[in-house]
Amino acid sequence: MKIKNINKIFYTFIFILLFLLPISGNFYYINLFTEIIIISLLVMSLNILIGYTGMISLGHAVFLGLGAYTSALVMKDIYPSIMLGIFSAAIISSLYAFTVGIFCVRVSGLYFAMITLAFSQAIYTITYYWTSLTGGDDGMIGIPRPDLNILGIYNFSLESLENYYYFSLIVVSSLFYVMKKILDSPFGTVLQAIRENPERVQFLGISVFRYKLGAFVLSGFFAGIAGGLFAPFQGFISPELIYWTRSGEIILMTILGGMNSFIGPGIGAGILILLKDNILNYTEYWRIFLGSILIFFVLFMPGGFVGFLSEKFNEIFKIKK
Amino acid sequence: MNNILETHNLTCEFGSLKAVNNVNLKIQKQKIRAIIGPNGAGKTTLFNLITGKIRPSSGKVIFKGKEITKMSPFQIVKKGIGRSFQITNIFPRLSVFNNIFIAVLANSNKTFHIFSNLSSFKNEIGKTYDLLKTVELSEKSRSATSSLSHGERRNLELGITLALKPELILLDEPTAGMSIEETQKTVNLIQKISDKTTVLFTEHDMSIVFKIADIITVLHQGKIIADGSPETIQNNHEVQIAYLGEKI
Repeated sequence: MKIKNINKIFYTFIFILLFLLPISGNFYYINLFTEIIIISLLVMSLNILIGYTGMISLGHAVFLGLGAYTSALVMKDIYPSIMLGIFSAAIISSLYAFTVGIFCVRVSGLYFAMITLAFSQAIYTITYYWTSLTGGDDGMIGIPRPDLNILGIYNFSLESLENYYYFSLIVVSSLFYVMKKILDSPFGTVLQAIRENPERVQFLGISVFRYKLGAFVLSGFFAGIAGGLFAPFQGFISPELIYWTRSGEIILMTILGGMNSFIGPGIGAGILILLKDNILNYTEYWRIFLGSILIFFVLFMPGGFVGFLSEKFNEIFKIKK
Repeated sequence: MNNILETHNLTCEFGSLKAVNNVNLKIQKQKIRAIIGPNGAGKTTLFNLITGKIRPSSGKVIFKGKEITKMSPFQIVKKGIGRSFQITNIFPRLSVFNNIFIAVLANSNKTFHIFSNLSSFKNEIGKTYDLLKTVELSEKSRSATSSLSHGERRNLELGITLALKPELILLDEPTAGMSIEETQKTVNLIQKISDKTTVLFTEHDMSIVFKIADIITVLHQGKIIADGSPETIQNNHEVQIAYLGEKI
């Protein structure tokens, strides 16, 4: 069997499990997994930069925040439509990525990390102080969750937890399909080549700048949608969404799940959110445990959870790449 | 226009050091030109100036009658100058096939297709296999580049450069670190390439230089000290001194 087919089976298996989850009727887990699904889109969008292009951004939470605030404001003040909210989130987030990206992608390595951090903290500060628009420190409450209008024929209510869960699952899975398609295209291969050797890519007659900017906008586009889904899910949002510790958390998820695989970071989001939730039941010092787990991963499973799994899997079944 | 590449008073200063000093080169079409000189003579710097990796302090680079001095590397490649590097410069974690495939796609301007499947580019796949054959890596096309020997990696790099179909190809020490057998293969390959392409190369191994070069240029401390056929260079007194009295 080929790696490609195994991946397909693996993705389908996860999708079916997630699709069946609401049958359990456990609202606590439906809620938790809605968060996991939305955040996994955010983490995987970051992996377009980290895992594929080799650009470590320290300000990725800014897209979550931009997406969330945009969709919240659009749905509250302009027109209550979930699709419009998500669409505007994607557009604003991409536009921001394009504008800021022009400055950011010129530099690489630590400098890229620092400049993305600086821009995200700037947006954090603006969100924090622009009280008339964003509600400032208090955040925004009462974000609506309008019905999903399907082709003007049928209204699908998103009020219930299960329905919003299914809505997020379908949106995020379709976006994963699109993302995978893009990353497997010539464009995606160029991104990987840039990660391996940006200088050589220049000498292939390819503008590294344009492709890095493309990756940045793409990443912002998907992350913005994650934000657009997140706001109506939580019902309230605050500037904390953009704070740099959240950007750090997204990187942790990437490392935990494995940045060398497509699905890895998404799994990482699941691991971290579930761990946090479980450890919090016992102690509020969850960060100590999380830190220890992270050290363990970095030292003994540098390929992350998915990297570790596929390595073992290949060993047992002697699969050739 | 017989000269494919010319440099006019090309100078590059690093602080007070003139790494390349007033170099006037004229490279004729479809000849093999070697640039030799002791370590630190400015050979690699000259290559970097021609290919846009660094900007000259003064002077011009003219390719096919048009100035390319201030262009960025990727624009210069698009004009038709390909280059391989002194230190092997490949994509380590891509497969051997993909290393060349990406260069083929770049050459046919198909890298920005964001929704196409790689396997849909039949024409480019065919070209990639042809190139793999040329550089004798057909059997290793699906291998990881990490499994290649040093000589094979150099060949892979050459394959990447050839995929760009350059009119002028710059090879920086193409046989460095190769075994005798590998060297011979690479020499044959360079001679084959030169049927269609102008080759400009640097090399430390003088036996290779005198065997394949049509014209040799000698650089010493950033300056051209001699220029001519292998015989003239061999008997040039100044060249012999530059190489510390070593008769070449």
